[in-house]
Amino acid sequence: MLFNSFSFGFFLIVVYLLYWLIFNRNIKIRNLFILAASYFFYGFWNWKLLILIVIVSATDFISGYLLYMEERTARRKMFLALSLAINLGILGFFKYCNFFIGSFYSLLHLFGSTASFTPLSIILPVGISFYTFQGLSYVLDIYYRKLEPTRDFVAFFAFISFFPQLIAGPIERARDLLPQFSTSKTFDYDATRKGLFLIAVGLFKKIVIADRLAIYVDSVYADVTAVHGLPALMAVVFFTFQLYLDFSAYSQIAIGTAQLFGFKLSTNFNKPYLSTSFKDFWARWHITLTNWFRDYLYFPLGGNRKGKIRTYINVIIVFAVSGLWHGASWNFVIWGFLNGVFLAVFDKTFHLNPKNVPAKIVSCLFVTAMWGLSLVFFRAATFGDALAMFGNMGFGNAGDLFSHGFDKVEFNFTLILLAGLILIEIFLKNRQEKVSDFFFNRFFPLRWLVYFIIIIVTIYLGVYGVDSDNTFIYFQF
Amino acid sequence: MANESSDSGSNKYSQVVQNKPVAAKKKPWWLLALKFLFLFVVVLSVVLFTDAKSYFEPDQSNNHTSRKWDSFYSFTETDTVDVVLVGNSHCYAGVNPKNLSAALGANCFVLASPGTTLMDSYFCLKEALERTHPTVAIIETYGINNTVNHKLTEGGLSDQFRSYNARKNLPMKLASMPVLFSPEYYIPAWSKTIRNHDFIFRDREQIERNIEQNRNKPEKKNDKLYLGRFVSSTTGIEDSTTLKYDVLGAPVDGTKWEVNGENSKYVRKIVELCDQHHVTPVFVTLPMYYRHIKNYPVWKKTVASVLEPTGAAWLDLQEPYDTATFDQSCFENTIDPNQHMTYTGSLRGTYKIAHFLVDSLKINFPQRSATKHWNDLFYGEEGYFENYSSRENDTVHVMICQNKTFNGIEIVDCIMLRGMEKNVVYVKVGKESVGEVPADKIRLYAAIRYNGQRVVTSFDCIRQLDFDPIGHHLYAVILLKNAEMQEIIDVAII
Repeated sequence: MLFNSFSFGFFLIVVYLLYWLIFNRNIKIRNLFILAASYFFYGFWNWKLLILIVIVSATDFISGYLLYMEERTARRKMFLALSLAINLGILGFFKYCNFFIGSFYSLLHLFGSTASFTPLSIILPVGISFYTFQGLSYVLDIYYRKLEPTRDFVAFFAFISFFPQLIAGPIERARDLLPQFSTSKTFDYDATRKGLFLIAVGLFKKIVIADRLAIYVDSVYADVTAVHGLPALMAVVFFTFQLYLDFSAYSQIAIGTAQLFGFKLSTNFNKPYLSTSFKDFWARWHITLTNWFRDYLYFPLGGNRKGKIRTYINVIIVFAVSGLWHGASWNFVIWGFLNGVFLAVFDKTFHLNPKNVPAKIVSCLFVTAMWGLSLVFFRAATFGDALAMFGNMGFGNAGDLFSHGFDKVEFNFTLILLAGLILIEIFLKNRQEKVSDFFFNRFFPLRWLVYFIIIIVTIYLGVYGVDSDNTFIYFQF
Repeated sequence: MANESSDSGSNKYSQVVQNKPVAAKKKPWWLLALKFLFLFVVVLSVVLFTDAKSYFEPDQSNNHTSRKWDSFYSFTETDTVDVVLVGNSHCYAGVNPKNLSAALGANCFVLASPGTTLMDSYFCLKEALERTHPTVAIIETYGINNTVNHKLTEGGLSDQFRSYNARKNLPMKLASMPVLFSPEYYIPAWSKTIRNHDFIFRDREQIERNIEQNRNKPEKKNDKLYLGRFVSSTTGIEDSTTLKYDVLGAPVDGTKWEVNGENSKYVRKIVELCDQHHVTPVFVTLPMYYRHIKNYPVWKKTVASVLEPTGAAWLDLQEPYDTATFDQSCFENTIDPNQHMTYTGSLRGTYKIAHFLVDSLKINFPQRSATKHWNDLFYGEEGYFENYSSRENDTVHVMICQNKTFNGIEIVDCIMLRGMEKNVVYVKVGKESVGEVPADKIRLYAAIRYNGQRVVTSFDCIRQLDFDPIGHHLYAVILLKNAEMQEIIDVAII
């Protein structure tokens, strides 16, 4: 069930009404209802794969309890290893099995083997990378004695499968989200209003802008060898914005949806394309994942406590693993590796993070451009396609811009949307204000006009319908 | 628009919330609901406005689905439909309702829609049965397959939308919605604006045409009595195409035909529906060219496994295949798997169905052809003169003779149809006098007026394979424009 689908709209209305009118009177019953709704939400896509969520939830719940109760270090390590093995085993099998076997065969080919490999027919369960990481954070926090386990298994199962963020995050920490399942909820007018606004803005970003950009990007990447010059460069620029808008829209809708039910989720994006350094960028992009890797991989590797060289190596390792987390392909590993290198090298070498405005603009453009170029590996189907894309980018063939799914009118409309987006972000950043805070302090006719415009533009100018593929990009991870 | 965060990470937001007076926090839920409802109504009004104005209507010039439902409702205001046919494009291309009406002396109506499924046929039939009380419901079997309605996409889904939109019974449409569409398409099924909003970027010219009122209506056909016929191809299979069969083989493989549980269920539901309304259900398989399909017996077995338990009648025109009747001229010139019948094929198929209903199933239709109303309705329409006599005062369709016997050969009637370029003489020979297997030709000895002079001469009349009326065989001969038949003197079988 996609957030940008009518099915989800019906689902949300029904669940919302049942939640506030019937099930919110008792915390246990409410949590049971959230769990049932979340399982329905997931099962609507593939009910058989619900079993994986149940296994992960049960494993982490039991592991957490055992880790907390056990004092002996060896046995604690054994419980942790068991939990990691089950969580990462499930993730590894469903996401990386074909990748590792295929890579092994490729390696054999280097040594002259002619053995061929037929990929196993394995469905990649939607959201598996997200809910396993969320579960692991619970176990690891208990292992590090930062968290006490819950005894309420319904609340825990609901925490792992909470439908607003089940599929693509934000990856919540148990210490932030789990306690919210133990508190009673009362209807909050302002929170609900803001939640609805976030959902509307998220849908606008996804349906009107991101999915429109996808038309052009998909058309170019379908055959990268056939596109040269400016159209190829434009595809790289458009994908840079598509990815941001697509994923940040999902996060906004997730946060808004959770807010309707009285839950608060973590910030996941904070104007990343206005970053003036790579460090700044990663503090603003997919924040919950960055924090996860920082806490559970970078710090255990030693962080920056073991000297400069080791710090750089740690950063690159973390980013390469992060790349692999995104997708089972060497392209993602290269993408992660590149970003690790950018962070380790450029910030220090070029002294990014400037103070004056022109330098800020240059830095911001540089960071975004490098990030955008790295995304060629993220988007291209193969390593060869990525190299072809780099080879084909340029400033010629401007006449071909309108032969990739857009006519001139739609192309210009898209550019106007992007310009508008950038201006709004700059404006909000300068005011150091969030969009909802800024918006809800305005005079009400203006607010209503904005509501109306957002909805009407989404309906009339959005990309949705019978022939559209509107899946969120991060669903594949 | 960037920072999507909730208030958890924002001091400013937290302060705002904390500093608000308690009364402001306790705004009631119904206030928000009211505002939400107001906004919803405003937005809905805009969408309904553009829907009502049909700004996002696709090109309607060839929307025969909509036209046939309009015509069906109009027809059934005064008349009863005796045979209703449902199915997809194979049905409306393969059956000629006016000829079927003429052959049966009854009212027949084709309510088939292109690309639709058996579930759609069920709901079409259900709506039709609420409106009229037929004797027979004919269900074309091509829709009995492995289609899952909720998984339809693109073209298939658009066809389903078209059929759904053409129907008029609101409660029935609502009831059928969950069966025909996944929840994702409930709203698009009802709103042209939602469904076709992408015209703004993809087909602005269509919007401009729609805004200029009345430029996007179904093409007015010169056909007062529209009974749902639609033929998309008139030429048969060319020899060059048959060569492709030699090279590529049959494009359709019966072993790949499957029927899912949903389709089986709706076969049963169709039969139950017919039982409830005291209607005889008849399943009909219209043929494709015999070289177009391989392993048809396997396909047949698959369909039979669904149909036979219902006990409903099934006319399978694919097997046994009538090679004499269904020649190359009967089929669309294509090796695309989805081969339809041509106009010629539809006529031949129609008379096969008529004979099956009357001769095999012995169904008694109300003899509407004996009434003036029915004759007024169908007089001069397709198939009328092939089955019935012209009126005495008709100077265009001139009666030459009626109910006469020559050498033991019964001439039911002989009509000359005056045309702009030529005159055509139809001779109807009673089946009882020549038997069920007729000669290919008969010879008429007749008096004609040619350039003002009376001449007695002989003509060879050729049996019309396209028309096989119930009680007689049809022969025809073409005369020059200035030659008019006056009298039959003798008849011989040659």
